[in-house]
Amino acid sequence: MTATTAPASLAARMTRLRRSPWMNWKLLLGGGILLLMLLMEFYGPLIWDTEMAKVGSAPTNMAPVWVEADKKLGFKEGSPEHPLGTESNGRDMLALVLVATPRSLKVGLIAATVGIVVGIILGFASGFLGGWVDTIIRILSDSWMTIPGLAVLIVIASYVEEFNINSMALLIAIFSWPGPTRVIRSQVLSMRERGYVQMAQLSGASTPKIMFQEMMPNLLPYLAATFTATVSGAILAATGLELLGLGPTRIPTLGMTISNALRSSAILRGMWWWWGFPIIMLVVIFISLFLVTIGLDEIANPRLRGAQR
Amino acid sequence: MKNLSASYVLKRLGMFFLTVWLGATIIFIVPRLAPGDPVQAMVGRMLAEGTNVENAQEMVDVYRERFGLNDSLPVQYVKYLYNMATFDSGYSLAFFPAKVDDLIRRRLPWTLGLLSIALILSFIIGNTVGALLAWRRTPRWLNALLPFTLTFTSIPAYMVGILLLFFFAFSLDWFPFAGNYDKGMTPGWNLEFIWSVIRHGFLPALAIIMVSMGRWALGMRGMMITTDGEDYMILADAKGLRSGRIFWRYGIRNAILPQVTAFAVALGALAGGSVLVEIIFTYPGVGQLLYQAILNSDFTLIQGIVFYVIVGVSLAVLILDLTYPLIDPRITYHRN
Amino acid sequence: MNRNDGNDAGRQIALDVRDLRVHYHTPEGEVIAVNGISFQVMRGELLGLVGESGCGKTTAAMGILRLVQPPGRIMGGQVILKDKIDILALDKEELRRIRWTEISLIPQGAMNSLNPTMKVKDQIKDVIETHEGRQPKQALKERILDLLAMVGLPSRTYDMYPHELSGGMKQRVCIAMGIALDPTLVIADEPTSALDVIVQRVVAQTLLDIKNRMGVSMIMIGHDMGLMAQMADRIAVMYAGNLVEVASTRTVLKNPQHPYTQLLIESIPSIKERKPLKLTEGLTHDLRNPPPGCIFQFRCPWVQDICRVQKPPLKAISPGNHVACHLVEKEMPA
Repeated sequence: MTATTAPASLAARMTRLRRSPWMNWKLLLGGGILLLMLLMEFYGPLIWDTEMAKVGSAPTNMAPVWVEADKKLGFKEGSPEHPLGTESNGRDMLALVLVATPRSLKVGLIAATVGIVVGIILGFASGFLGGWVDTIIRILSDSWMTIPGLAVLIVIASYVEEFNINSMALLIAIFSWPGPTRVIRSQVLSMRERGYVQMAQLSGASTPKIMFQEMMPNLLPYLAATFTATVSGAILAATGLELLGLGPTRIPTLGMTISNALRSSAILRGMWWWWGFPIIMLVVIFISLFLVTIGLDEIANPRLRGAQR
Repeated sequence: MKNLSASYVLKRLGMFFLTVWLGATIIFIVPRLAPGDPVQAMVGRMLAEGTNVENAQEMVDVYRERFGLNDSLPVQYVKYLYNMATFDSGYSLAFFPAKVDDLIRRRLPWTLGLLSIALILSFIIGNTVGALLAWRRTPRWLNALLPFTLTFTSIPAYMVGILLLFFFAFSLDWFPFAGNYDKGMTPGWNLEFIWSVIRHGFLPALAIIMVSMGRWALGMRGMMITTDGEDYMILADAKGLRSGRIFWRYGIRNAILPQVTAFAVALGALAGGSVLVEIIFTYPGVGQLLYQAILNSDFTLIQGIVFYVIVGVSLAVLILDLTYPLIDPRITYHRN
Repeated sequence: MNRNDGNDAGRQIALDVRDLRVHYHTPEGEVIAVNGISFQVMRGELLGLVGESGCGKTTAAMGILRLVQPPGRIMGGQVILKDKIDILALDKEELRRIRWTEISLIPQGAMNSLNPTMKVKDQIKDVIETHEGRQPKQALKERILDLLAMVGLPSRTYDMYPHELSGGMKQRVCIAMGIALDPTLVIADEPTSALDVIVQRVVAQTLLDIKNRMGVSMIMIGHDMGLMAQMADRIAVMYAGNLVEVASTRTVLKNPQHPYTQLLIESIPSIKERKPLKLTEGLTHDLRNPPPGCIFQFRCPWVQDICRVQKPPLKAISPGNHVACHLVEKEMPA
């Protein structure tokens, strides 16, 4: 068909890469943004003085650099030293955002990871073993899912003295496991009947081998999509708890910042930057997670790819 | 209800009780895991935060007896279950001697009113928009809504609430800031009062609707696309049926089924979200009460509210499960 | 058994298809699914449309009904009903009105063609009331019960949901629905393919009964030559989007003219003797790029130079028998 010289095969490989289903713009864009945010932890201190996220490190109640002062509402005008303004505890907003964003993201990631691992274990057990194991796991996950997670988390969180990122993530993970378990279970059930699994069983392959070599690769897009959706839910729960004042108080997080802002009547005082920038960051996180989820959904289910109506 | 088989109903009822029991047990166990006496810890914390606690010792004694903290753990558990089952959650710590159940009961209608209106509207609007977005003959401007609704799907309701509050209440001053009706008004079935209620409830409801609507729209759009490819749709076209009839009786009627199932699953999350919305808007519902309880370290009130939330959500799911076979004729004949 | 041998003269034409073309626009190119086919269906006759999988028969049927789904598109041609109505030229509303009243469809795979949330009675009532307006309840009920009886379904089927019926029953519901408005033409797309042999027989017999009783014309699509032999008056043979032969059933079975038809008939397993399979592979050319000349050139055992260059037109070699082959003018080598 085409010439088989070296440059042509490179072009062919590039085309194949470009056409590959993994090159989904939603996936790449969302994933890229999230990666950028995670790495903030490392490059943040390099581009700005993140020590200013601590209480009392800056003059209070300053507006962002482009806003005029308003004596009536009580905030000063901005300065280039604190381009995103400061809040009434003397924290610099830019530093705060740089420090808090990766934290909030990490909580979600840890909680979702635990949830997914539990989900894989229980989902495979349930789907493969069947019988009463399946029944118990199924009933348990269904009812666990119905319980309004935030409400119970509130009860538990109100008894805890002090949180750090990891303990909060683990707490949220308590309610993150039913979703992945259900998804994985239903996937395992449908895959079990597929031809390639039965072929593998007939050829005498051991169960773990079947699970990892045959099933996992096909499961991957669903797993990944469930993962990001769980991360989204976990961050939602985390910021919800923080908003109620139940989160970590010594280290800054996005939810906690918003909570402080509300308690100090930031809305009424017109200090929109206090709650505004954290919200923007959270919105970006959620939208990126959402993009990644639907990108992965499209990869897993080709029919959604071209559905332009 | 000739469609419902006895085993189906029993199974659903069983799930209801299981869920409620599970939730109640979790709430029971966790505080007991903390070292020391819960009541002492509560009061101690309140004192540390500077809250004025009169009759502290009296309260502690009442509680010890009330919750049988002098009894062994299993006995406590049984008594706890019994109390919960008879809807007796005891006294509020911060508002002593007010009873938890009374406090909740007063606030309940407001929360239920806000929630049910917001839920119903968002389900109807969301699914309709979603269906139209998937339909081939939809006008262009409606299609432009898609990215818009998608954005709001990924944002929690309370954030939308904050934004709405800032723009519409603070900057534009179109809506009031807080509360559920103007201060100084006496509740009554007159136009002025009702209008005031609507004005106050508008933004909180809007926040919930904007966020939920996106989720329904997205899901419905996906379902309509799937349904559109089904063989019975092609035959419906071949039969020369009017497009309106195909849209509703063949399209939506089938696509809505998974959405109703998803609704049941979403209720738990919605409960959490609405709590936060109430807080943002200082809307005196059950959510706001919960916030105050947290601020006051009022553990009995917290426990009571959360228990009721669990019961409420589970009950809604139960009702939904029982009415689902009415719309999907395939269900009752399905032997699991 | 009533059989019309396709004598054109003096009989009315129910459907006249002229040069129908349907293409599929795929990212990899434009697939020519139906490459300009022309044929006629007479009043009261059953035309069998046969060919192997993927040859375009269903697409052709969808084209006639104007039900081609994207990425497919009708690219040209005329489909004239009763000598008066060009289906392809109608506007949306006119099309909707002649659908089912003049021309109906018994779909392939009735399993999924019935609305799962509607009872059988409502699905039939649907189409009656859409085209004939609201009906008095009792008369309507009797009419539907009559239709169900005509296809041999018990009257309790009236109140049932599709998932409560077996495959054969669902198929017969579709047949009942298809004749409800007494159309001029019914297109049955592989009505028995998904059924087991005994049920196949029942459904086939039902179709034949209906056709004889109501005098409706039918196009029956399939690839089971044995079934066609029993049911069709004339047979149209398709290969890769083209019609290669249209002739009476007797001619096609006993004296096929086109090389493809011959190979098809020879590959029908015989109960009496063992024969080697002559046709083994599927379509050998890319449907996006049909070769110039005869469409069958790559698989024809008697291919000549002219076949590679000039496309043979579908010509009548005797009344009611058409073949598209250069070799038919001459004597066919044995």
